[in-house]
Amino acid sequence: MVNSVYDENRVISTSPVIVIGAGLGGLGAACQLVLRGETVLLLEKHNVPGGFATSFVRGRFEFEGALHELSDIGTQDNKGSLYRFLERLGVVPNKLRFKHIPEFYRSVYLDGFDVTMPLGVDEYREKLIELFPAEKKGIEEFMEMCGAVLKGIKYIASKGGKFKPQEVLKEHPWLPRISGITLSELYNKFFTDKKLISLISQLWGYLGLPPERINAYAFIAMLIFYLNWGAAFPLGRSHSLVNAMVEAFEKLGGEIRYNALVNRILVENNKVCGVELLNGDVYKCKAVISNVNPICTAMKMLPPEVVPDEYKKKIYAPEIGPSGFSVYIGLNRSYKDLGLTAHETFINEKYDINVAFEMFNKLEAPKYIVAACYNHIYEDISPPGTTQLVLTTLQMGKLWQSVPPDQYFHIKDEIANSMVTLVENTICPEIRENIEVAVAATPLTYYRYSKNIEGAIYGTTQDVTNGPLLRLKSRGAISGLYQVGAWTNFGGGFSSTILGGRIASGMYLKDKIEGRW
Amino acid sequence: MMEDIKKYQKAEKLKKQREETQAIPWYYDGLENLCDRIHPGSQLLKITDIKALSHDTKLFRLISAKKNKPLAPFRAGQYIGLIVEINGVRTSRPYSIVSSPNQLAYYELGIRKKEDGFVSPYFFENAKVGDIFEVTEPLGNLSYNSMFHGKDLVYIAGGCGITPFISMLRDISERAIPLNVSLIYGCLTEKDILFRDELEDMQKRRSNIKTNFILSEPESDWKGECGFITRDKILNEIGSIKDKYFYIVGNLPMYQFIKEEMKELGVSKHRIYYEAFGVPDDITQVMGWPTEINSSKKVNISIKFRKYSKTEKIEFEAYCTEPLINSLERTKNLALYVNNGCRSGECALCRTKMISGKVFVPPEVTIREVDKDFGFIHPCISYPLTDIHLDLTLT
Repeated sequence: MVNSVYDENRVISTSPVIVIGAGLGGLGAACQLVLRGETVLLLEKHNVPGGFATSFVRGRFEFEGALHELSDIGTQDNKGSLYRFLERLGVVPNKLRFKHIPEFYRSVYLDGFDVTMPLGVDEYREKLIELFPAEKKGIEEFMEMCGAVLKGIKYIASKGGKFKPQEVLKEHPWLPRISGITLSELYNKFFTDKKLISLISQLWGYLGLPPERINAYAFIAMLIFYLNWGAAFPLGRSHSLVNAMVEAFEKLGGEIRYNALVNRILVENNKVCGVELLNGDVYKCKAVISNVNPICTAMKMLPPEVVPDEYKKKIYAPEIGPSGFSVYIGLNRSYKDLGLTAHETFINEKYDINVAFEMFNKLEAPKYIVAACYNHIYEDISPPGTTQLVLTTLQMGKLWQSVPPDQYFHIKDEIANSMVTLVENTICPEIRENIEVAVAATPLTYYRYSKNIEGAIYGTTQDVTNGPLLRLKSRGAISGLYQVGAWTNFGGGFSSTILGGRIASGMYLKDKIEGRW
Repeated sequence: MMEDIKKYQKAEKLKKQREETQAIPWYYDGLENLCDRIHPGSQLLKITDIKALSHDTKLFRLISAKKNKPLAPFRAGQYIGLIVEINGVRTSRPYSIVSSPNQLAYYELGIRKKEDGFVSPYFFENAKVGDIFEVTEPLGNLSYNSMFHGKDLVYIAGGCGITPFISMLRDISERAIPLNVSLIYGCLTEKDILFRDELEDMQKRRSNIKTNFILSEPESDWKGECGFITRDKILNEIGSIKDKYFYIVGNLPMYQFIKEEMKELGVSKHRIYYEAFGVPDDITQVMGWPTEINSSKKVNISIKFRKYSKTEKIEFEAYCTEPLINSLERTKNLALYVNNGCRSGECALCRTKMISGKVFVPPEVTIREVDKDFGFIHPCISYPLTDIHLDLTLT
């Protein structure tokens, strides 16, 4: 039989729903679906699951690819929502163990200012007051506001999305209040000290925009989640979290296929009817959950005529966020000897974050980097007596579009080298002579493995018009298509994308019951 | 407070406006071009020239076989995996690029004929000008790393291991890079020395490049150094080990010898890079090999694989002393090529799921922890010790 949409002879199987991509969002969605008893096929283009959540080996070091501090895990008496999700999957406590990171972050400036901030709302507040006694009142009010935001988020979560806006406005006014302003505008209500603002904002690299541009809700939610539930790291690196999720998914009846690059989403009568792989294999289905970024999904994988212009405009309107530039370093010496005293260290040249942000637009030495040293909490992450240190900064991927291919290695080496120099000048003067392995990843590297437009690691930026409330939602360009991943729902980050994937599953199930497609 | 709420409503409005005024976009993936140039995955190359380098080594010049597809840039010291099909067996071998990284009109490979080898004798006898081959993109971690290698480099090459160093030296010489290099090049006899004229010429022209040939089985008229590359000879050549970085390329017996010499010299582990050399000639000589295993022992390999929509199974016998990937490739009716690059357990391209069985992996190869936990192996460097059950439907 000839079918105009696909070749009947190449049909391999039919399943109700297909998830494209075993990244964190795709896995979150797929796991939630099998938990609800759905039959799911998960297609992954790479030969390993996880997307950015991966690891790789160089010499005798196995490097963590992406994860710094996992939020939303919590403790036995105060479980975070990600932990509870993993619990339902049967991943924790038996298949995966977490190490808790004792401190929040260390912050270092080129002028010598060097402080380590603790986790816990009270501890964090007291440390800030100790450092900036003149701003005591503002700090207390600020932290109170953070607490109120957390209450609001918990309230909305408890209602499962069904809440009255009026009630939120009355009971949790801070929630709507911070949804439409920048973080700077929010700071102005509490304090003015530039140093204090810089110190609280250190996590801005996790979202990719400076306080003057970032949506206050996105930042405050992240901050308070860390303070309340702490930060953790999975034993076996982020890839063991992913593999444990895949194992749970398969145990619950899900099927995963690797080296399966989906080339086209097949559409019949404006409805999803299947997917076609690059090699021509066809898998039929009624719905697709796409972990591929929405731009690629809508503009490349779908037939162009089925995507409404409104949707195209919608996915292109927000600004595409930064990509990453990382240097993975294996040191032939213990972190204790080298003076690397914290798990997560933010290294800044100046207090003004805008200056550092400007560097995201240049192929030059960065002025803000994050140094993650895993050995403190996870001694075995590298061989005895050695240290694993990962330096990361952010950079706009589009800068690399105009790099001549024969200059690529040269520019890459220059930037990587400047990052090592910044570490040399601040937290670890002896770094260079102890390096055993050093390898850099550019936005092109991030692009290569994710195929995200411009190698963006957090999807679109979370500016005022694109915060968690206003971001692209899971329902995709056409009926039966759903989007997950950093580009949608709560945005980037490990727990945000995994839990955001659950939302897409919820919508799929709702639409299925209501017979929308 | 109402002011903030109004700001949210304004943001909502602004968002709508932004969406409405956005011109209907067309798809443009800006990094696709660069990605395709740097990481093309595979390339099609055509032989344009073959030249003898010595009695048993030939130089092959290859250009891109596709008109509009330039060759991928590489770092001096990297290799490409050359894919060949011999009597229906599709396999690949890594070969270092000899030519300079400063031009991409062609790659040159120096291939030595290994008498009992599978690919090199075939390539040596059969390959001719005009032949087209598929190769991988440039791979490998042997190259100058400005983050920590410093300014004083020591290259130690054994035999055909000189090839990556030729590319590295050409790069340094052509761009006048301010690095001091001492090359210590060990060969059997005088006629085995490759690129001798060029190396001597480079030494003359560049004060920062020093070369020294050491022959282990020289003829009586050889005036240079003789013997193995011992610690004394190294020290004699480089003065002191302080701030030096060592690159070593050769074969396993040479590595075993040099490792001891390095230890005696007091060179720290993190100042030496040993290039992956492929699989050892005799795995039973590798440290950790279970001596109770008879070297002629055969085991059963059963494989699940996918042919279109059907899952099929086959079984065949394999030698314990041969890497799994070689046995796989020889199973012609499988008609399945396991992607691979380095054939040394480094690049992870051949990662495969093992359902049951036990394999031996040389101790210096690092495999990801999760792969160990979830039963994934690199068949290019895994030797079957028991009956093995592989699942290729996943890959």
